[in-house]
Amino acid sequence: MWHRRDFIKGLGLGAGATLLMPLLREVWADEAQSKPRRFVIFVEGNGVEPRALLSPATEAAVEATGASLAGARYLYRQYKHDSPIIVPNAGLGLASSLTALGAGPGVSSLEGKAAVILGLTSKITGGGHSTEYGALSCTRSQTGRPAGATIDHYLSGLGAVRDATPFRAVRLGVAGTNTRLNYATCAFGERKPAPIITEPTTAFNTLFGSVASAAGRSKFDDRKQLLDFAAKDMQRTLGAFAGSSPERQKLEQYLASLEDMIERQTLVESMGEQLQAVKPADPADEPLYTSSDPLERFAIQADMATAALLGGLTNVVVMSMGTGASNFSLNYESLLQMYPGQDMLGGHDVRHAAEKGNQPFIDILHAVTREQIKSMAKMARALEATPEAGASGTMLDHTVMLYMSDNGEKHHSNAEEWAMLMLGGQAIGFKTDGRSVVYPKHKNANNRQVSNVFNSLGHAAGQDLNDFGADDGRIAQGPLSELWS
Amino acid sequence: MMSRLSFPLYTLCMVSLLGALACQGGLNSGSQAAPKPSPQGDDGPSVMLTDMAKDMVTQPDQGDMGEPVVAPVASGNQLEQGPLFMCAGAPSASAPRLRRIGRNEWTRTTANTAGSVAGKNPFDPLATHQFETYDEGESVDETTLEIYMDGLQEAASIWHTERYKNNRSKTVLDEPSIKCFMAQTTTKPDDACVETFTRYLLERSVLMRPALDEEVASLKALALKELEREATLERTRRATTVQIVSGAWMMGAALFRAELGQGQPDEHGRLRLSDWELAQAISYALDGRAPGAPGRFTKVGYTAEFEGHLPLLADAARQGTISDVATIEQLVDAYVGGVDPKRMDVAFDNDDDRRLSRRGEFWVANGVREFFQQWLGYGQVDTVFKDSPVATSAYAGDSIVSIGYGNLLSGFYGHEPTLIQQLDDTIARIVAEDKEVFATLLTTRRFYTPATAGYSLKGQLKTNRIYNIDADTAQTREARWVELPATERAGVLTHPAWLAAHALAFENDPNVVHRGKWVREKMLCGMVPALPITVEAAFDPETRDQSARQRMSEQVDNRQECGGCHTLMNPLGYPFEIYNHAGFLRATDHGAPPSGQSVLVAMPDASLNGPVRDAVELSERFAASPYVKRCFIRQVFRYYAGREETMQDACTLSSMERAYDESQGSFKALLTSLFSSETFQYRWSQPGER
Repeated sequence: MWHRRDFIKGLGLGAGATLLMPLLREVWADEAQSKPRRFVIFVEGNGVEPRALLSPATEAAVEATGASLAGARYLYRQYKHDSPIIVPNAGLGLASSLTALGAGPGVSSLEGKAAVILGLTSKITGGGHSTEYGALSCTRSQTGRPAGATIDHYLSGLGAVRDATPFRAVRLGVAGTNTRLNYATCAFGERKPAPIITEPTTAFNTLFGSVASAAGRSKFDDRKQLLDFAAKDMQRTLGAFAGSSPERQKLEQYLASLEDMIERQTLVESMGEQLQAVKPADPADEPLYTSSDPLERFAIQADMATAALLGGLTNVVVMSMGTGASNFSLNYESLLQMYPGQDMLGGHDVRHAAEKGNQPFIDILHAVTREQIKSMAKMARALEATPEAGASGTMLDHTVMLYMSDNGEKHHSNAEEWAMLMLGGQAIGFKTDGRSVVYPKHKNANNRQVSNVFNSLGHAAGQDLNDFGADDGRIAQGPLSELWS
Repeated sequence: MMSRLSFPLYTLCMVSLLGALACQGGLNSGSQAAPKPSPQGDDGPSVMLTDMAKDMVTQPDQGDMGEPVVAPVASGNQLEQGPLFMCAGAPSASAPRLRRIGRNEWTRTTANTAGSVAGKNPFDPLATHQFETYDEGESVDETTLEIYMDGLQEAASIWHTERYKNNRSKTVLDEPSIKCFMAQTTTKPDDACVETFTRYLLERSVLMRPALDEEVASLKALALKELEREATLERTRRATTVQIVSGAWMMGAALFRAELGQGQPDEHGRLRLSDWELAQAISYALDGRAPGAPGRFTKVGYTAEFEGHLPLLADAARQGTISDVATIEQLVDAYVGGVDPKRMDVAFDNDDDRRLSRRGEFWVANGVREFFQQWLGYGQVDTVFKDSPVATSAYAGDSIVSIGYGNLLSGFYGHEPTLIQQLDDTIARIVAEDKEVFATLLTTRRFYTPATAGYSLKGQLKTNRIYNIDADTAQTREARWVELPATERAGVLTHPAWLAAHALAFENDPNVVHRGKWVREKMLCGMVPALPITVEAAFDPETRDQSARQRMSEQVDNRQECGGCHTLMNPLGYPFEIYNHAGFLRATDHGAPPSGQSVLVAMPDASLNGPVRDAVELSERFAASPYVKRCFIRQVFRYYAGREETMQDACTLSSMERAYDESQGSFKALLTSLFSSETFQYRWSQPGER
């Protein structure tokens, strides 16, 4: 198999590769020989309430099948139907957390680029506070122990998806703990957690350090020097190493990591002009990078991911908000006005209060979802405003965006309803035309699973992916014809 | 796509799915079972598997192409315990290895603190490792490297700090030979000066051993290049130094510590660790940092003098005495623990004297504290959510006690030790006193508790209620040491930190299962099958008003299909039902008196069988059991050897047990025995030979 890294090595390129990078990018683009395909997955920790995505037209269509949804917080329990309900022009922007889809001053409606999916199950992942890696891998995973690769990693490894981008995937988010990384959601494979960068400044330096201010640029050059030095030192070390194969592999992995980063640095350096055009505000100039409000930090992270997509740094993005069993108890300071008595409560306590049917706290949870979808809509509009290079339509047409939770429908989830919002991707086959699709509930005929959505993503990526995730408990193989063809 | 799970997990699930018979077959049949014939014949090591482990390994799966899958070497809880302590005199050694530096190890060796940016480095252990000291499969992937480089300049924090500033180190500031380089001038240092600087940097701050000439040459080349850039960029010498130190910490030798052995193989095909390899192995195991790691200046003084931390270890390596038993005994005695009213050991991470003065006066090395935290699993208790922590206790409804509980976890208000630190200090005293350590761990009633007298913030007022102490506790160390009633607590398994760490959010959650599983696996070294994926392990939500005991007995215990696994856990978890999910003693349990009653049957040690009144009696029974003591020794072996035990370690384990017994239960004797063993000091010369 031909790899671009082999190509670079074959040419003997080092620092001089910068001049040839535009040419290489064209070669790599030819390699893909396909239309651009991007995938963005927003994952909200600890539940997305289906009612938050339920539009009145969808509710009416479901009730027409004999279900009574009035007052029902967990919709799936009421479903009576045995085949998917498709609601065209479902007025999605009227759902309580989807208001950002509607038109507003200076922005057009995204409803015609969206679809809402209800009724999906994923019992295989288990429920609880978080399924950890289960949500994106469709496996039963334990804390710290993914049972399989997550869909973002699968997609990012496809040549037709990665194209000529330097980063296989960009994973950004916000976590409840004081760390820069969240290892609880994505996975490179079984027992191999993949980190999500949860500190915006770190994310900026990683993605845009090459085109930052003078100080940032100096750091970029310093890093380059260190990488070159360490790679040479490791080559020397390996040349003298006479130890066992497993131990040698440790050194080889480190050397491979160094070489990968050198390659990426070279590639990023060649993209200076386009990155300069899209880079977000420098951390030194933008206080929101260090905001104590997780929703504000999330918005900054989403802006960063948007810039990464626009700048061609990656074609796969994961955005996480408090995912993982230890990360969802956040203080949503910007929503303080909604808290009874304006007394701040930890996110865990908010969810417990909501579980008991306390409406102000249910409203807070819907607002949290709404704020994240606002960031998602902002990203979508930025992509919609950008024509797709070398193909018809806009970048949004070639980018499918998914909003979902990491455990299902609620705080202590049964994993029986995974409500989702899908945006864009029409040029790669998605039927995001303003519809709602409500699948039959768990144990009813024609119930479908989260894995079928991921199969659909795989097909959109040009793969004949029909059995993503674990086979145990699989209801049906293949993609979802109601959403992709 | 994932049609088949990898063999061990798949087989475990099959064991579970096959139901009660298979799981009950996993009960160990006796503490002193006679050795069984080796499945590998006379030439191979004798592998004694538990019945459950045998089910796993005797019918190996096949690969996708039908190829046989090589069974992994049996280790840890897969092994029957009796044969593990029978030494037949066979030579012992470990596999040669490279040990990637760990998060805390890097932080301490670079003289940074756990709460600093450096403390967020990404060198976390693999999640599959029971102890952070395990090294199998740990390297530096691209993402780890990326995050590491983001904080790399923190490695140089003691190298660019001026005299009279915090964080300065005598190891840097007091060395005359490097002043030619460190001077903040624009004059380029000469070649000899650069070489002296790079060698000193490597030997005293990074590699922490004599550097090889090629290592010095490699770093010197970077230093010369950076000096050129210094002139071009008009950069300060300080910035240049940061870049060179960063480079040093990217060298393979800095990130991967070698334990390969040196010289010619002996008659058994083994190499002995070099003196410096051994010194580093002991130093990292004992204190989680390199021998001679630089100290730094804190508000309460320097954490180490010019020679750095654990200087005696470095001296022993230099003098070539490090492998002598007598030397090891002296080193362990000096560095395991003791009494220090100033608590300089914790000053390294938090130098606020108001906190230091409130800690217990006994200290232990980092590697001792972290062993107990990781074995007992209480180090992360502050991340475990508790709904209504006072529920069913004598303080139910007392919001002040609830608030105090939150502060016990966070330590946000005031300066009293947190719940984790209280257990740390309770254990530190037992280790420092070093008499019958294991039995005392399980029976002590002398707990280090928080003071409450003289405080005014809600979070500080009633924090001692977690121990059922109703009166105020004075702000003295003497007052904080409290002898708790014999009916209420006995040892670490009845400490609130352990109880809360192994329980869920509600007082009537299935905490019986979580605590019982821990006891089965970590106190008895037994096995519990993984949860079958077809099982939705949750109580009926309609029974949320019932006690945990009622829910468990009616929804789990009386279902035959659950028994295969739950008989391994539930009887060991019921005794802890006298406490709630947060570790408070229950006053009532849903209208009935709290009950910790259980009946233990088919235990691996017959003396453990029979009715049990509660966790106090259970702990006392464990403390008297030679079988349970052996499991403790196996846990010690795992942490300090950095891997699971195999049958080849039988002589080492039996020597450890003998040393422990002959010293009246000395933890120091246990460690001395291990560090002096062939297992610890030798490596097989041929990779994969054994």
